[in-house]
Order: sequence, then structure tokens, then C-alpha cells
Amino acid sequence: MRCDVCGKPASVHEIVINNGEKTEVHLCLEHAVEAGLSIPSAQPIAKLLAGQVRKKQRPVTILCPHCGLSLSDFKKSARLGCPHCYDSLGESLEAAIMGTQGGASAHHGESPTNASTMEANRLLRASLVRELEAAVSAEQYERAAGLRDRLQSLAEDDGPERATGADGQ
Amino acid sequence: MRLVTPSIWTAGEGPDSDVVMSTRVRLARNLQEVTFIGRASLIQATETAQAVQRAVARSESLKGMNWLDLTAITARDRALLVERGLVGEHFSTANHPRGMAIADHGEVSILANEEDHVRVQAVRSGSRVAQALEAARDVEQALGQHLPFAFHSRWGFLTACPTNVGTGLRVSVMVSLPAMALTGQVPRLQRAAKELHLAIRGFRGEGTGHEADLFQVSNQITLGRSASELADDFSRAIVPELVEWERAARRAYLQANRWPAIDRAAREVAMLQSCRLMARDEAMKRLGRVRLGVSLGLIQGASYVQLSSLMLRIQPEHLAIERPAASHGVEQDRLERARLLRESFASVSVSGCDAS
Repeated sequence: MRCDVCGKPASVHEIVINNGEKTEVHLCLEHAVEAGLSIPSAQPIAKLLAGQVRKKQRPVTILCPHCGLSLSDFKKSARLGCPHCYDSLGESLEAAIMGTQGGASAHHGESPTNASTMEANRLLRASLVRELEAAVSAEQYERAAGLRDRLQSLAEDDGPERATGADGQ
Repeated sequence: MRLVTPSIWTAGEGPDSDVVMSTRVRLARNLQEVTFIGRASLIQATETAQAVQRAVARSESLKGMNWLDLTAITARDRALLVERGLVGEHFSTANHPRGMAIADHGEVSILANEEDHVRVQAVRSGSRVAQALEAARDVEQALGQHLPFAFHSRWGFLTACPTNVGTGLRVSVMVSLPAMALTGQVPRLQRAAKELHLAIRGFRGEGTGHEADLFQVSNQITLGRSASELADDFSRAIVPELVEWERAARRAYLQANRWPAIDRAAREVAMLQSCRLMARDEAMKRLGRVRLGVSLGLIQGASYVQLSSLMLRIQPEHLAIERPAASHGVEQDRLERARLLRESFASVSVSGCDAS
């Protein structure tokens, strides 16, 4: 079908019934808009949708893939989401830290005492299980497989420790 | 009730206690791989609180601490903790799973799921920064045997707010500066504090007024210097400087205003000896002025120890425990508060009144 006005390929087709008389109208996008018709064709909808998605996504800049912290979350609370954020946020965080810390750019002093491996693994396992569940429900199977591998290697590490009941205490 | 014990910060004794009421040291820690509390799910927050509680129970040196589940204790007990300065208003009234371990009447405590997963705090009366740091560090290290703390090779101990990163250390001294306030030197203090990267807050923390001329002075820098170095700044420079500043202001004020000072002290004592209704805020203000009279050597029979403890005892929840009334209400509280103050000041006198 061609546009009734200009002869370009028509993308809007309307059947108008006036006083029992049926008339078919075929218009290209430009002339449909000009005629004030609604635009039901696939292409403009996809375009509109894409526009919407872009609009919605624009403020949602995910800063940390581990916890899903977004730029607006961080701006709102001035709090980070997880320990990984310190690496995920990179240079912008570096500048912010140095700004609030009187120019200091690295830690100086104590480091942690060794925590029980068992407790560390237990917490890591719980976190990985949750990530795995999220990945499966989001149908991100590749990511899920990676997470499953990490969980399995963690379980192997734990094996002998569990068998003897030792947990570093 | 477990919380009916004297509170350490109101002991009123210790080095430089004419100016420094108490010293507090806090170390913030988080668990590796665990979402910070602001973004944690209910399950994650529950797991974290349980992990901290388990670590306390497993540790030889910590297992004597009492565990309080903040979601299980009454609102009145939570209010008591706030009045003692052991937890903030926000932590007290939050909805997420959280708890705290407490020992020696709050000399040391461990908060689970405050802004960070773990916050160890140690409080001492008077100016005792090094001792408080040592106490907090002992607890932190004992916990660290059982909990894997998030640590970054460059940034040190990781915290939910980047302003605490590195050492996670906050040293805070509660100072009584009535003469500096009276002689209009507070803006000067604030300017000096800003230059030294120190925060100045009111008696009850951020955003509160300088009730009873009490100020909390704390470090804003937590990165780039070790916890001991940051603490040394306080015990070697900041606290001695503040103490000397306030003492000089007291001497100068008394020298220039002997009779107004005596008059002021006498009126305050008379008011506290004869009041029949007393609101909390007014009581705090008057106790602050009496503290100035004591520091100027004008008031006899009232000690810093007594005044510090009264500042806690006149708070609504503490008053309710000490003086259980048949009916509770604002007026009843005021009556009981006035009665407590009258009794406490019955034998207090002001020197120099007859000298004219």
C-alpha cells in the first residue's frame, strides 16, 4: 500500500465509516501525523518504546555491578552499597575520598587480624547463593554457571575443615 | 532491668574533668562480601546481626558481654540507651534487624547493623583518649578473630560512608565550655576546628544545640594516618589546647566580672533549691551554669561527679526508673525532676555572698 497523499510506502491504514459508507485511508508516517491520526504501526511504537526506555534508563546509572548501587542512590544517601563499590566506582570515588579526607590518598596503619576462614566462607557462600538465585531468575545463565563454579570450589575448600570440625578457634 | 546501672560518661572524674566530661572512641568495620546495611535485604541484615552475635559468643574475651536485640527490647529501654549516648536516635528507632553487645555499663559496646555492620565503641570519663582507643582496639581484634572485616589494600577498612574509610576511627571528646560560650568565643572555636578538620557537635550529636554548654569535638579525617597517630593528636594537642583555652576564659571572666559571676551562681543555686516544676531543657541549661560556678570556685557542695550524674538522671527515661510515679506525664515528670534537683541542691552554697 502506498500513501494516499505522496505515494511513499504507507505505514498507517485506517478504515473510516461515514454514514454507512466505508472508506480506506492509507498514509505514510509523516502524513498520518499531519492528519492527526494515531500511529499504531510497529516501527513508530518500537521507536517510542526505545525512547521511553532510554528516558527511564538515563538516571539509572549502575555504578556497582555487585550490589546494584546506582548514581542516584549514591547521590541520595552518600553511602556506598558494598565493599566492592570502592573498586567499582573508581576515579570519581577516589577524588571524593581525597576531597573529604584532607587530601589523604591511602590507608596507613593497622590491617585486620586473620578472621576464621570458616566464617569468611560462610558469609561468602550466603552472598554467592543469593547472587546465583538472582542470576537464575533473571535468566542470566552464563553468570549463574560462573557463580555455581565458585560455590562448588568453596565447598571443596570447606570439605576437610568441616570434616574435622575445626573452624579456626 | 539490665540498664539500671551508672553510666560511665557521667562518672565526672578523670584527667581534666573540669573541662572534659568524657572520651569516646569508635571503630567502624564491615564484613567482607556483605552488602552494607543501607542496601541489605532483611535476610542479609538478619544474617549480619547473627554473625556479630555469634562472634561475641565465641570469643573468650567478649563472651561475658550482654547481647541486646534492639528489635526485641522495649521502646523505653531503647530510649534509655539513647539517653546514655550509647546509641543514636536513628539506630534506636530503625526497623531493620540490629543488636548490640554491652559490657561494664557501656565502657565498651559493639553495635551490629548501625550504619556499618560493626561499630565498636569505648567510653571513658575525663580525658582518656589512649585508654579508650586501647579498649576499643582490644574488642575489635577479638571480634576480628571471628569476623572477616572488609579491608582494601589501598583504602584500608571499608565503611559505608567514605568519610570513615581507612581507620574507621572516630575520637570524640565531650567538653564543657561555659566560659568560652559566655564570653562569645564559640565562633572562634568553630573556625579553629574547621582548619584542623575537626567536627563540633552538640551534646546529643549531629544537629543538636550546645545544651548546657557541652560540645562534642571529633576528628573528620580517618584516612592516611594510623589510629594511634589520630588519637595522639587529641591527647597531645587538641585536648590540652581546648582545656587551656577554657580555663583561661574562666580566669579572665572571673577577674573582670567577680560580682556578676557570684550573683549568677547564687541565683542558679537558689532556683534549683526552690523549683517545683522543671522542664528537661531548662534543667540542662541550669546545670550547665552551675557547672561554671563550680569551675570558678564559687559553688560549694556540688561536684562535677554529682552534676554529670544529674545531667543523666533528669532525662525522662532515667527519671522514670529512679522515681516511678503512679501516673506518667509531662507535668509529673517536671514535678519529679524539680524534686530530684531540690534534694540534690539542698546543702549547696555559694561563697562570697556575704562579702559585701
